[in-house]
Amino acid sequence: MKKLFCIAMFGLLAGCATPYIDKTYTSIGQDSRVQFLILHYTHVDFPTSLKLLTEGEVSSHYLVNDNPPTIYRLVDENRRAYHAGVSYWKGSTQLNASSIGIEIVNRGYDDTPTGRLWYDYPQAQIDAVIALVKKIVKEHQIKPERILGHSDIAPGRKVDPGPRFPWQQLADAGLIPWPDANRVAAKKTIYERQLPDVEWFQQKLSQHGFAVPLNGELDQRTQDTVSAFQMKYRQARFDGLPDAETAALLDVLTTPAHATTQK
Amino acid sequence: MKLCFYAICLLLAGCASGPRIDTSYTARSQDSRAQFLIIHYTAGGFSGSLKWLTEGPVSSHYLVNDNPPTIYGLVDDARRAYHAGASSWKGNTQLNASSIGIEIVNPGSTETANGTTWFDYPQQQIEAVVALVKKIVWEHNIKPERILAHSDIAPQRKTDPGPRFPWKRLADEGLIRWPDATAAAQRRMSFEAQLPDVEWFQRSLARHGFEIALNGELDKETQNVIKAFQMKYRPANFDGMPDAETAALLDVLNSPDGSTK
Repeated sequence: MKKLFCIAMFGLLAGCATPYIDKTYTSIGQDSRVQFLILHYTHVDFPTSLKLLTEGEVSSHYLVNDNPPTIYRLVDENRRAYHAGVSYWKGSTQLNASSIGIEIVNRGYDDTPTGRLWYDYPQAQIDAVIALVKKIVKEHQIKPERILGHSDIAPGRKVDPGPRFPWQQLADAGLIPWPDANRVAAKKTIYERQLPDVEWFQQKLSQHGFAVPLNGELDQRTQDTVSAFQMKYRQARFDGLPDAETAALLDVLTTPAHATTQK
Repeated sequence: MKLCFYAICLLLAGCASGPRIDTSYTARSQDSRAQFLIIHYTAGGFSGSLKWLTEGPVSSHYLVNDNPPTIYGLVDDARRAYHAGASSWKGNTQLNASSIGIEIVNPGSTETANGTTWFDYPQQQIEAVVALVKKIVWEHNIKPERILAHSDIAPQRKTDPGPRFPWKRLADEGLIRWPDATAAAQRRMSFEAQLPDVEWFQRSLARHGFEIALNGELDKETQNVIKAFQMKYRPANFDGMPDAETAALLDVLNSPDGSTK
């Protein structure tokens, strides 16, 4: 009896909590809550990745296996998954609520006596990732400069998807911005004569989108950020140290092409 | 020939629908993208507000009229509306993507010979707002400390929903936290004996959730934040100046055991 009463009351209360809503009018000022697309690697094999991402404290919207390159959807795109953690890009923080996360099965790296060895991504897997990214970008109108690595939004804490992830293929597919090689070469010659100081690098990295201190010091956080940038745009060397090529890449990426031609 | 055209259309449509996606597994760790609920006033009448929010560069998920107190759904909860603007709460910024916005038709304030005058919210309008907030909180599991004023998340730019919005009513409904009166009275006595310095206020306001510089100076920015806090919890006096009662309210709210909820 008491239980029945309880259920009845609950029904009444639930009824109260649903007021009438008039849907006659619609705002033109609206878009998707999804503003960012974040790429990760899982650092572990497929069965372990699947278990961690479905049963653990972390999750992602998609998981892309390596062999076969099957795409799994673990969280509906309209819901929040826990993949970004403490994060920042261009003034936006805590990006879980405003992003879609793709986890890619890849071992990441092994530390060996001869140094750190990184694992390649099979081409079939990359093809699957690109097809998935295209689909998501189209559905949510995500801007090219908002397709990012976990290392972009949490440098120092995260290095994934790592220096073996072929960002240039995403650029070739028209998905992300890529610095024009001729403009980079021209700038590089200039910066080889006179390397900009640390504060210049920090300001450009900040303008690009990173959370980086503007203290003029080549501290650990600054090096981690330079390294995150290099892992994406200059994968042959990502030592985190300022150099002429890195300066040229940063300069070209933060200066729109038409601005240069006007000079 | 025409058949060929349709066949090509079908093929292209197939491409556009994207890669095959396996949905056999579901992650346990997930929740709603809506983490915050932000309350605004329109500072204008219904018809102008409706036009502005549906045809203009700003929008909100809901608009609550005053008379009759009809609730209009203008943007689906699953989509982003443009109501918060540059905003911050507890390290979260740009809250449009992670919030639901409710605009309430209310003129806000007007300047008269006797100073600024604020407009009351009709009781039936507040009933509609309470019912709507309950529904949203229920559906998205929004935490009590994330039901906020526009002035909480943008204290330098905004004062809405203003000092006449009955936050206490939301607390009585169990929707937001409220400082326990007895605990606040006790602490007020000790703060009257010794008022904490400006940096204490800044640290406490930051801990509560506001974006504020910790510079120890009672500058315009700090006063705006104190004012935003007072408009909500001590609407009888929101002069933006540090005082013992404000210190007590802040201190109780920042203590895990000090509030009623």
